[in-house]
Amino acid sequence: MRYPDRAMIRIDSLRKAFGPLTALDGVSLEIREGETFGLLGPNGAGKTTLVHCLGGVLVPDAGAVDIDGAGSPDDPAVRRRLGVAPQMPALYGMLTGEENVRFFGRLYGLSGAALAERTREVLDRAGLLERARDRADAYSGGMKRRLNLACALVHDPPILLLDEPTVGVDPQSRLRLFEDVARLKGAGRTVVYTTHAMEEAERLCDRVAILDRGRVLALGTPEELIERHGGPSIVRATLDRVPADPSVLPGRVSGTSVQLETERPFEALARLAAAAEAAGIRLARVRVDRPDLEAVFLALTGRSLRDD
Amino acid sequence: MNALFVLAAKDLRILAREPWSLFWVLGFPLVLALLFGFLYEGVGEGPRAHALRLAVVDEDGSLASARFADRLARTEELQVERLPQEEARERVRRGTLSAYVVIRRGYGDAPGFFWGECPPLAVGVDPARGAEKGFLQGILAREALGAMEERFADPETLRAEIRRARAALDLPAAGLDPDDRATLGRFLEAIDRFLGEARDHLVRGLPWRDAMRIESLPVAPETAARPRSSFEISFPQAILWAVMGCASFFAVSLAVERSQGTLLRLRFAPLGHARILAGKSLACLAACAAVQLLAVAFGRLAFGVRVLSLSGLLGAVGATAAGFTGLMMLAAALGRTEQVTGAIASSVFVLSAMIGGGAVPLMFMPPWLQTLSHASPVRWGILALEGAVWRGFGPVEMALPCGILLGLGLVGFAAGFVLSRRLEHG
Repeated sequence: MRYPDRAMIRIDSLRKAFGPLTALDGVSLEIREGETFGLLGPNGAGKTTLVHCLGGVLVPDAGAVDIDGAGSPDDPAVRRRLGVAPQMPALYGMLTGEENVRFFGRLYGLSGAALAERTREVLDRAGLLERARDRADAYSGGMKRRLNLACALVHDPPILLLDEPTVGVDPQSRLRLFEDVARLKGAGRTVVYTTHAMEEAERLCDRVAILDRGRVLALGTPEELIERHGGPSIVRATLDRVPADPSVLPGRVSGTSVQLETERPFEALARLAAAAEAAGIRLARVRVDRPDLEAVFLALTGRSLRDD
Repeated sequence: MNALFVLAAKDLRILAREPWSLFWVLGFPLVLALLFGFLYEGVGEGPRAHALRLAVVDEDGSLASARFADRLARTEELQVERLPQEEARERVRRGTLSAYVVIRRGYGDAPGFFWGECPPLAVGVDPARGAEKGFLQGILAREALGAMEERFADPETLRAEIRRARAALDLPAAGLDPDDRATLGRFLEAIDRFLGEARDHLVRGLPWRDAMRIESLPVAPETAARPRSSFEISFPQAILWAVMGCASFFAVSLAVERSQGTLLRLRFAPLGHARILAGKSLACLAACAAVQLLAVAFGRLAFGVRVLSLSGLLGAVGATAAGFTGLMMLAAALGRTEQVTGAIASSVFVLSAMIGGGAVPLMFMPPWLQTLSHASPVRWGILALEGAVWRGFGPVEMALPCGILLGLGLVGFAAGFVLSRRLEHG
């Protein structure tokens, strides 16, 4: 039974430093059951450090993490509830795809028929069943990513930590991973998805925390964040001729180009179309640029998400 | 516990699939065992194996000189060839023989036992084998006495010699003044008379026989004291190389897991850090033990390498595996990358082998290096294996090398665990 408002992960004032470098600086979050939660930030924002603290492989300097009310992930028993797909495909190249999945399944206590069934199931979902007996080092980059995810799913964990799962992946495999995440969400799994690609966060995540320099800058659904921090939409139109009197048209007119910045782009577009028709001018081309999470990050930090 | 076996099985499976690693762990040590075995050929193959190689040049050509040459040929400590003098000298100069002995003309006729000079023998020794010169002179003195015993053992032969000597007294070549000649004549006559009257057993007990007797004392029971073949020496050496190959492989594999992210993934799994390392150690321990037993089995089947104590062998194998597993852990923790880990493991293990008798047997090393070898785990590994294979060590004697190896393993594992934990947890 799912409890949509139940916190599966509680992060309280987490701090972690590596020498003089502060990787996490008082991060507090609650991630709810069944939601796909995005950690969005540029490289070095602290996303991977946060995932490592959630997975129990890094001990925070201060603060606490609670997994599903069971306690800290330092406890190996608590980590059974987690499935982790590390940023870099972490596989044994000398073992076959099937052997990799079975190995990780055994580490989580699966055996016998249950292990065989789960292995087959996750390999099938990853589209790797036909190549299951090939050694993993013979797989393409996309196949390795899918196998990486299959190994994280073999023990059917309620919580998944996916650390930048699409880095270096071809478009086809990326699409497949999106479908996998959507299916996991549909199955009620809680997914923590780190990325520096705003389109992935917008597409996949119910809520997003924007991280920069170890701090949470903003938290909410993608729409809320854009509305709060994204700034106006921009309506751009190209006229079929230069208007005799540009002042009859709303926005900035330069030659045959018109540009409007607005919170309500469709209403603005309707006003522009009406004014142009009244002036006997036709709109040859129209484009609406809505703000996105990239713009949110830019607004919050003054830097681009893809800046190093 | 189950997770430990899962981790270990994974590592062993990976080892089995890497042909080059398998070669370093199994093939290379066997090649070494064969090479060393043939190199030390002769060791333990009976007393003649280490005999001094000697040429005998018989210038005299008498019955007495031929008998003396035969005596030398039968001597345990010598391997004798009969050669012309020029060839003998050339062979010694080239180093293919240690020395040559010339039995000078006149050896058979020399009356030197009673007066004048002793039977002439000349010795030429390879200058590079100075220590063996004295050894050879001792053997020649012993055999000369023996030849005299043979010559005079029969009273009739001895009386004939005496009569011949009495006749020679009167020859000008004897160079004796009349008083000496008369004294010696009376002496020889008295002996001749004594030999004519005495019974055989009295004559055979005369003091020239066994003028000096040296007994050999056994160091250990005959079956166990010495290796029966050179392969009983080379296999323990090679086994240590196999163990070092295993330990290096697992040290590097831990570094590979660190660099390729699988170690991180294991740490996300419901395993403690100690269990992950224990799994790696278990795989290393099993592989080290397996290659040792395989090598011993191969040595036994192919080269007749004995196992005097099965329980001793199991103890030695276990202790050696544990010792090098600990060192593996330490090497893996000291190196952050696989290259550095590989370099650390290789240099430490090769150095240990060089000073510990893994490359050159300890008996051929100078004393200071033999003292230094106590610091090498290879020394203790070889000693433990030799103890079980041919030295016939009992439990008390096995306790020292096995105890040192086990202690080393524990210290290595503990240090490796602490360092590795510090490394992984930042």
